[in-house]
Amino acid sequence: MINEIVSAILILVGAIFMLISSIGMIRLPDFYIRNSASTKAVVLGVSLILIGVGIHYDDILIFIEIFAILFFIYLISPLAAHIVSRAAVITKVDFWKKTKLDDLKGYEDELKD
Amino acid sequence: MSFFTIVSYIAIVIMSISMLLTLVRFIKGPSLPDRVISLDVFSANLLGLLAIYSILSEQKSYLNVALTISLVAFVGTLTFAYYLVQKKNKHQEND
Repeated sequence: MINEIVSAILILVGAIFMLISSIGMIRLPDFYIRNSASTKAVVLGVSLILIGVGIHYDDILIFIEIFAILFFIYLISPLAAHIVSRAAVITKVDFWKKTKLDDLKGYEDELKD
Repeated sequence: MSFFTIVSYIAIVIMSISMLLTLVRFIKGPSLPDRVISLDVFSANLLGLLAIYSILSEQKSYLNVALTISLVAFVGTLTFAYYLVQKKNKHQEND
């Protein structure tokens, strides 16, 4: 019984985090800021839901499989966000008008590779 | 209908709403990278939905599908980013 309550709370909190990240995808003004919302909140939400599912099954084989999924997500998600942001900088996607940065000013030649 | 089943249905409804919001960004998105990351969020929502559905239908093999989806979504994102950079490079060489 206590398993079911803990697992239900984890699944519900994870689903609410996914909803928050989708609202961020709609409301935020810029591609780069949206990328931050889509990476961090989604990783937290998916890992909470998967841990809740594992607690509900209460089986060591299911936990191993969920550990594999979480390992891939933690490995992949920052990598994918970095690669897509780099491609967006190279193809000159517009920044938000309030963002003030010129850190990449001297490095245009190195970005071409 | 137990307590856990009701909570699972509520979570499925919440995640379906978030998938719809992600699709709005996919249709509206001004640039191609917007669409790529919205597909990423969509596949993550699909992964969580499959995990909850594997409890409701009592079929553990849906978790294997979730593992496969997490890998395929990464390959899709990587391919789109590579394609964007290559297209830009080719465009510069033609100038």
